Amino acid sequence: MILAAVLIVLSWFLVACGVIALLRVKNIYTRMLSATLIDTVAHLFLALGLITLSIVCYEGDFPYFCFQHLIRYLLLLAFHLLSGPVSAHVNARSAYLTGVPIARLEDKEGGNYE
Amino acid sequence: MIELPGFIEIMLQITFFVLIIGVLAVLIRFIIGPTIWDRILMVNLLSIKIMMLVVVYAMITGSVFMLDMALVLGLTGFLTITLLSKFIMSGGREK
Repeated sequence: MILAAVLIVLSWFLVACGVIALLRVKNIYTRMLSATLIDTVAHLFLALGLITLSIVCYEGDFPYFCFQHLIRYLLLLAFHLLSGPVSAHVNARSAYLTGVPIARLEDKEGGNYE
Repeated sequence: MIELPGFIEIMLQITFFVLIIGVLAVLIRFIIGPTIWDRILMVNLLSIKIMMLVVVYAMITGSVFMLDMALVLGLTGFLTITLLSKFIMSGGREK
């Protein structure tokens, strides 16, 4: 139970970090990297917490966990861990091949890489 | 069925509010985003966050079919991102 609570609080922290990264970062590639990665890890922690809840809080007879919830959480988690980085990569590849520069010139001169 | 204790249920409702703040930040960046790839990325993040919202709602109400809906949302979001990126990479509607 406490493990599930800690995992859910970690997912809050990661979503808040994603919001800060989304609104503060100026370069587009940095934004893509930070936002997509942080959301993937937040979903990882949230799904692990909910899996722990579906094992701990189950009130039933034999299997000691709620099988229908557990298999769907695992399926969602696996699909998101596969598809999140792929979609970020496709988006970044589209932006790079169409001609968005990696770093802007004023960022290089000012030494401001945020 | 799953019986949640009280403080876990309050924590899941706070998770709702955190995710809604995330959705609002995504919408702000969607409005002020300078290029079109920003907006595609924001559609991606919006689908992910709505998927997480549906998952938390399914945990609160204890229904299984909401999780199927979350799976369908994730699939359509991924297809949207990949197809829009390929379409814009090939020149969009101007070619």
